[in-house]
Amino acid sequence: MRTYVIRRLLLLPVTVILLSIFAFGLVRLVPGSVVDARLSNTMGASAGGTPEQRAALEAHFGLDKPVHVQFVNWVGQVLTGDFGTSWLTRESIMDTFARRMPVTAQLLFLTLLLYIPIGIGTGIWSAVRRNRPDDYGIRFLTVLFLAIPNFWLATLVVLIPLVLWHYALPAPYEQLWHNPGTNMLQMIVPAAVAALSGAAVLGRLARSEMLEVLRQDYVRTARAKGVSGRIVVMRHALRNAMIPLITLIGLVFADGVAGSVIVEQIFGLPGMGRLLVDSIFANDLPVVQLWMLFFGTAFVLINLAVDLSYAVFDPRIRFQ
Amino acid sequence: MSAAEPGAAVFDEYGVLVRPPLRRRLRRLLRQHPLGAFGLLIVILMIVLAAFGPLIAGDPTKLSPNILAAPGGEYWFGTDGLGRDYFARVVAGTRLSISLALTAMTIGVGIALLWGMTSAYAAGLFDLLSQRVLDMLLAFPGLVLLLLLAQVTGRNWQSIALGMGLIFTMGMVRIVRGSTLATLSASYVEAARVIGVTPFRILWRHVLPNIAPPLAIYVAALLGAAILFEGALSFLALGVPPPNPSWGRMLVESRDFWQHTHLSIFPGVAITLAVLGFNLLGDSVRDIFDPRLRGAD
Repeated sequence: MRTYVIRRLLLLPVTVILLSIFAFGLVRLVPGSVVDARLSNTMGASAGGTPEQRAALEAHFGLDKPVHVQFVNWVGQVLTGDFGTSWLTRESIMDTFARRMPVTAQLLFLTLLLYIPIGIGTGIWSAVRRNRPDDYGIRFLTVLFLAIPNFWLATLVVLIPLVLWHYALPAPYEQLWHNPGTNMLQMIVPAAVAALSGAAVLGRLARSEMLEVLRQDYVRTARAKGVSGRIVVMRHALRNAMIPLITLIGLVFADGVAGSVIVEQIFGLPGMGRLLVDSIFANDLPVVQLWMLFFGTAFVLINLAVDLSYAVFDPRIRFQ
Repeated sequence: MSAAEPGAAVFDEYGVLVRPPLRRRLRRLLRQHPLGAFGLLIVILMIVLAAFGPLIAGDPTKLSPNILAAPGGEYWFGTDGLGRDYFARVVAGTRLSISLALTAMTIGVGIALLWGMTSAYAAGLFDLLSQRVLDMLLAFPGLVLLLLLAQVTGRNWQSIALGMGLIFTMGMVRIVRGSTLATLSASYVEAARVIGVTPFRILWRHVLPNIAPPLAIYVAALLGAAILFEGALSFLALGVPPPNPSWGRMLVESRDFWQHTHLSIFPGVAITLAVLGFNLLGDSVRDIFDPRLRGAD
C-alpha cells in the first residue's frame, strides 16, 4: 500500500508538468496573438500596425523571447501567484476566477447533490427489481435521458414555462448572499438539468455493478441462510457494489464541469464554464491557458484521490 | 434433420456445423436483439438521409417569403425565420452529424491502432510517456478538450472531424494497448516469434483480430457521443460554420423565435433519435461481442 501511494504521488508532479506544457503549448498553437488583437480594431477585423508598434508590443508581452524562456517565465509567474491579466478585459485573472468560481462551485455542488442520489438510487432500485415493470420503466428513462442532449433539455426547460405560462426564471443573476431565494431558484433549475443527463450514465453503471454483485455466491449464501431481502441488499450487496462506483467520482466531476459549460451558457450564469466559452470566442489566451491548468490540476488530483481511496477500499488493487 | 428446432445448430453428414441461411440468421438476430435492430434501423435511415437528404426533402437553403410558417401542409415541419423549409433543414442536418461522427471515428480508430500497438510493442520510455499524457488528457471532459482543439485547428468541417477523432483516440489507445499487451504475452505469439515471424505480421495476424471486439464495443458506444459533441459545439456557436445546417445551431437560432415552438422541437428530436439509434445499436454490439455482460442492462 505504501509503495503504491508513494509511486502515485511521485508521478503527480510529472503529470502536472505535462499538463502545464500542454496548456502552454496548445495555446501557443492558436493562430493570432495578443499583438494582433491589440493592433486590430474591436471587431478583430484587420491586424494593422507598423513593424515598430508590433515589436514594442511583442517585447511588452515577452513574446520576443524564445518559447522555452516564455514557458519558464510563465510557470514562474503562476507559481508565485501572478496569474497575469486578461487580454480582453485587462482584469487580473486571479480576480476574474475569484469572482466566477463561487458560481460554478455552487452549481457543481447542487448538481452533484442531485446527480449522485438519483443515479445510484435508480440504479440499485432497477437492479433489485430486475425485469419487473419498474425496472423497465427506469431503463426506458435511462436510455431516453442518455440520448436527450443537455442543451436541448435546458432549452425545453426554459421554453415550456415561457410558452405555457409566460414564466421565465428571474434574471439577471443574483449572488447567494445578496438574495438567497432568487439565487437558489436561478441555480437549482440548471443544476437539475445538468444532473438529469449525467444521472442516466451513473444509474446504468450502478445497475450493472449491482447486478454483478447480486450474482455472487456470498449473496446467494446470505439469502439461503434466511437473511431478509432488504438486509442482503443494503449490507451485503450495496457495500461491494459501491467500491467500483467510487472510481466514477472523477468522471462525475468532469461531467459536471462539462455540463456547467453548456448550462451556464443557456441560463446566463456568470461562472467558469461561461468564462471558458467567452475566452475562446475572444481568443483571450491567458485566461484559456490558466483555465486549463486550473481545472486540469483539479481533475488530476481528483482522479488521484479516487485511485487512492479505491486502493484503501479494495485490497486487491494495492498489490498490482 | 427436417425436424430440427428452428434456431438449433444443424450439422451435415460429416458433423460439420452448417451455417443457417442469412435470412434465418437475421431473423434470429432480430428476435434476440429487438432494440439493437431498432437502433440499426434508425442508423441506416440516418445514413440514407445523410447521403440523399436534399434529393428527398428538397433544398435546405432556399428562401421563401413564407417565414415562420407552422408545421403542416406544404411545409411538414414549418419554416424558419428566413422562410427556409424546416423539414429540409432537419434532414440536411443529418449529413453534418453523421459524416462528422463517422469521419472522426475512422480517424480515431486509425490513430489509436497505430499509437496503441506501437506503444505496447515498443514499451520503454515511449510507452511510459504516452501513458502519462493519456492519463492527463483523459482527466479532461471531452467537450472541453474539443472546444480547445477546435480553437487551434480552426472551425471548419475538416478540423472539427480531426479534433473529434483525436478526442476519441485517447480512450481507444488504452484499449488497443491493453489488448495488444495481453495478446503479445500469449504462447502462440511467442511461438510465432520463435519461428521468425516479423513484428508487422504478428500485429496483423494475431493482435488485430484480438483487438477488434473490445474496440468495436467502444466505437459503437462513442458514435452517439459524437453526435452529441457536434450538437454541443454548434450550440455554443463553436462548430462548423453556416451555411451547412446543423441541429445544434438550429436550436440556438430557435431561441430568438421562442413563440414558434416547432423551431426548437424538431432539431432536438432529431438529435435525440440519432443518439438513441447509435446507443441502442452500441448496446447490442456490446452484448454480442462481450457475452460476460450479456443482460447486464
